Amino acid sequence: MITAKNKKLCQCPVCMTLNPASNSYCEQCHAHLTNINPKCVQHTMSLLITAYLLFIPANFLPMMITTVLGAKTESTILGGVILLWQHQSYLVALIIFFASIVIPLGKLFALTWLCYEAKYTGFKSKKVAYRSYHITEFIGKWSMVDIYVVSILVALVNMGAIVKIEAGFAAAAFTGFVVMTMLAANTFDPRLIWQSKTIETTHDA
Amino acid sequence: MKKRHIACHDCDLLMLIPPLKHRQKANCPRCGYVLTRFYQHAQLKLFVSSLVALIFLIFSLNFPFIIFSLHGNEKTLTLIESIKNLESITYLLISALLAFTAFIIPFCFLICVLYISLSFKTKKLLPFTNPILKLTVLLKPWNMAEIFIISILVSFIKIQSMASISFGYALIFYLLFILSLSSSFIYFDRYQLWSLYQRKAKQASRIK
Repeated sequence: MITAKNKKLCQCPVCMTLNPASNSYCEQCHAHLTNINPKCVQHTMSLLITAYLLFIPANFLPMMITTVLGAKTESTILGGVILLWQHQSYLVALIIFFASIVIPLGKLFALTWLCYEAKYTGFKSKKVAYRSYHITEFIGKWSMVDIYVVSILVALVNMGAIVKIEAGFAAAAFTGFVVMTMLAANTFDPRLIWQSKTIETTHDA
Repeated sequence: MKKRHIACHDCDLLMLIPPLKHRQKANCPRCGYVLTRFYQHAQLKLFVSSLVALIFLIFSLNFPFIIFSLHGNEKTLTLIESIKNLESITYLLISALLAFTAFIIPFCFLICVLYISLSFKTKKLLPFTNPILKLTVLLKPWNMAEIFIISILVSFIKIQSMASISFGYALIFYLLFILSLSSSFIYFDRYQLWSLYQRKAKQASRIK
């Protein structure tokens, strides 16, 4: 298999022009070029660790503070899901549960696993690794649902003493968390997954 | 269309893209990454759907999108207010993110696409086509307008038990905006756009 790297070329990630590998900026659109470099895993890992740290306050601090006639109730993300389930709106409860707990955690674990394999063991199955990367990248922004919901509710339900909804610190933490995971998925270079396979095939031939 | 060597974005495999017919797409043989999709009159379709999306977006901003009433108090909310209402500093990050991902980035994206389409229609490329095209490619993944509509529906169900709620016109406009935005995403293909740009730029240099 002939890759751009073997031919000492490097493709611009923005405009898909092939540049000589020695260039650090694209000839056509002047975007920054990055050669395939296993060190980019460190960049991803640092963003991932930030995301892990932000995930703790995002889940244990209150996301939404509802005040009805002076009585305050605070609810975390999981608390909100349980409340919706009890109110028999199962579909919405499932959407929120998946969007703000299952998908973000899955994303974190998938990226951590990819980084670990890229750094230490090498990829056992390239197809599985690539598919999980692809899904992670594609699904990333859907975790934003809960934050949007909170911000709509805060703006909408604001009637002074009668009813008031405020956003807790968890909302800010979760926002940071989602942005961090999206950046981490962006910085991970999928070409790393396929690179090792190329070496194997050339050895066989 | 002239053949041009490209490398797969995701696995770095070098290949030639053969001339494509209407509705055909080119996949990477190794990893399956979609390299490009070809549609007939894609530029025209891109222009029209972006223009329509832009008009619907501007319309949706000023009409109320949700009407909330409780014990005789009624409150209407427009989309712009939903961003402005967040007062304190803690919410500043959230409201900024909401404003950017649901309105400002799609807005900029559409304006840039319209500029590029116009630039390709004129005889000579308009100034700054290159950086604007680059900006559009970079902005595309940060578009989250379609998630905003889901969250409107979710929040509707969440406070249904608390008060009576009805929808305004803006919701319909926003829904139409998202439909036309996603159709312009279908016709936005960076490979095709950049090869068009290259051809145009070459022509211009030949005339000089």
